[in-house]
Amino acid sequence: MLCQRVAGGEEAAFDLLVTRYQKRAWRLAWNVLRDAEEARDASQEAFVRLYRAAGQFGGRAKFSTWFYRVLVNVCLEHRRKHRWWRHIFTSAAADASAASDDDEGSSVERHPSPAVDVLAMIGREQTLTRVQAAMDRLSPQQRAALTLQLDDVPTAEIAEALRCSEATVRVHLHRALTTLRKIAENA
Amino acid sequence: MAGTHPEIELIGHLRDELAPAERARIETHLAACAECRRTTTAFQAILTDLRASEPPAIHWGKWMAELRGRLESVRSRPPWWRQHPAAITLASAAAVALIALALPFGRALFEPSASPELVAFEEVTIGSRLDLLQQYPVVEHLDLLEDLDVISHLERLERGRES
Repeated sequence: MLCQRVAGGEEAAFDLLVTRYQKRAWRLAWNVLRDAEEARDASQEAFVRLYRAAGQFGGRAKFSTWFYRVLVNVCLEHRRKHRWWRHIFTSAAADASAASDDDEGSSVERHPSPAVDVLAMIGREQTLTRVQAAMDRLSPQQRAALTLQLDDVPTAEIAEALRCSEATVRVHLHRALTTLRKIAENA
Repeated sequence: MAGTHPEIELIGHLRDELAPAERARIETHLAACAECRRTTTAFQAILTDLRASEPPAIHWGKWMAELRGRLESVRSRPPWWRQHPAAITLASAAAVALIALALPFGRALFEPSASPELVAFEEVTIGSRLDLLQQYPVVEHLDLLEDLDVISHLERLERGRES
């Protein structure tokens, strides 16, 4: 097993694990933390913990579940640690984001009527930007559940990673999607 | 459709994780409930949008180099108890001192507490009535602390017996 080889100090095995999971780790960390610096730090920290604790992986659960659990823990710890300054800066960032949305709208209006496919492309870009911004309204647990769902991780494994029941995962997903729907419909 | 909507089960249905009987129940509901059909369609559209939206681009070479740096520092770092030997010695000494201080205090907690004045009074009273105490087996059944009044006036009991 790859994890046992990592525990045995095999560098190549660790590199292989990193290659397999780095993108998923980055996506999950970014979606939970919504801050590139913190997400980079958290995704790396998860791999460091994986390296140190590889010997403790008993193989009872799937490796991906175990890794997601470590990563979600690291992300939530990050959020707790940086909560005090996040409160100070979040409102400023939200204001800046709203201002930038206004700018985009006015700049599109100023331009002459473009071809239809370009308009569709801009519309699509704006929708994606809006969806990403709406993610900020969700709780970290909801964002984690949603991101893992996007990676097609089964509900049972999401529950393991978040240390909650499968029913709670479905509630997280339902609330997250309902919030995003409301935001999309009111946009 | 009136009544409750299977909101949470819709998630299981979307994820195709429901047992056959449950799936059939939700599909029957969906066939009759326009609101739940709209919800399902909206949720699917949101999930499609989320799948298409990527996190910010990252320089993976830099990310990997940073990870290697962190791993290197982990490998070269001695265990925490070897990093702070003085702190460990101090903590051990403090623990021993605390135990030494706590022992007599703990013992006192478990010992019955009675004020010295009360104990002295009790001894004097009982001592002065030792002869009478030997004569009255009934005294054996008295609680000495609560019935000191009786012991103090044992002669009245004796007078009562004589009359």
